[in-house]
Amino acid sequence: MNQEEFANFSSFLQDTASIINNPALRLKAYSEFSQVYDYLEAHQWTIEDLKERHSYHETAAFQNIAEGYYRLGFIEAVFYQYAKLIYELWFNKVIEFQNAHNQRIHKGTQVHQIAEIYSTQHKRIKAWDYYLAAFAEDVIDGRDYIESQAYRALRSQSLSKNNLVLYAESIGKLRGKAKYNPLQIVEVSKKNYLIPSYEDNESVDRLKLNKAQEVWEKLTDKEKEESQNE
Amino acid sequence: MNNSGSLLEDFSEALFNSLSGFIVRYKRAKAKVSKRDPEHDYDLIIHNSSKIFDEFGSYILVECKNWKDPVGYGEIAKFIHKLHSRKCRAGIIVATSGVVYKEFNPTLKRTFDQDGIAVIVIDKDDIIKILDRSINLSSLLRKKYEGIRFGLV
Repeated sequence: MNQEEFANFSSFLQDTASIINNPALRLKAYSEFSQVYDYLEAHQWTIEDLKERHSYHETAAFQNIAEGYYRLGFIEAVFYQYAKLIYELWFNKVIEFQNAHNQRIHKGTQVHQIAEIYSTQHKRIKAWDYYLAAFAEDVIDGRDYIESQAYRALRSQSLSKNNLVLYAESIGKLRGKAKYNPLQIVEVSKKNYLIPSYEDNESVDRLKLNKAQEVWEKLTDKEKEESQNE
Repeated sequence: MNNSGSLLEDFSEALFNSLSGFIVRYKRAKAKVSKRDPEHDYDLIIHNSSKIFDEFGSYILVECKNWKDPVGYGEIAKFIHKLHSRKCRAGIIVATSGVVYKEFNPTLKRTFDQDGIAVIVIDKDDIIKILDRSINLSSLLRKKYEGIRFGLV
């Protein structure tokens, strides 16, 4: 695949509706994946190619392909897998670029989308780590993490607000060491019990813990009463 | 009974019941060697079927101490004896003021080294962190278990 063919394929992949409705076009999306992947893998990319964009942008080589396949995942699950491979490659290319140029690039889209794909595949343990990585990316770049998608995703899985606030504070300390790779931050934070693993988080029943909290409040009230009577 | 000691047992029951795979089977139970002579009191007996805590064994004993002072050697030794005689691999002391030598209790370390019994201590600071959700209960138990098992301070 050459540059022109890649550009044509990227453009073709944006027309999701036509591909969904036409088996021949779906076959093309399948069959050309490996060539597209090889093309993306083989090239040296500039920062403009690697940066995430909030709307369609011609130079966003990885994002255009990944999002094209991701949209097709709604009709055939294998396209989610293709999208994930491209998001992973994009992530790795950014890591290489950062290390080579000592310059940070935001990677929230890649890790968040990988988490989403793992979720659709019911691989919740893996998704958990990638949502935590997406959260770390937002914190490192000084974004309002309370408004972030990763924050909502983690809260929807019952990770407490207090735990996320403490995690955000700890990321500030790790920033200097692991500013380039949020997956390292997740590993260190789990290792140090700053955040629970997926299994630990799932193992606690919040409603039952609320019951414990009620009894604890009774106990502390009782103690106050006893100390006043002494 | 509604004193602060029994409330701590009620609290501990609710706390451990919130963990998937933990079921508090007995509260304030007594074991007897004869009709008259009680051998042990058990504050809580937990049946453990949690896969993530299978190293704790099938039954976990819990001792609750709502004392103003840290729990001393004598009480710890009695609890270890209960664990030993009931063939339990793990026990939990919920002590609002903790135990003596909190950071590195040689009795608790020796109990694991010699008998493979892990005694985990949960104090008031831990309880507050669990209830305000700044630490996960499972994570806390594992952290403390690793501390005892591998001698980490």
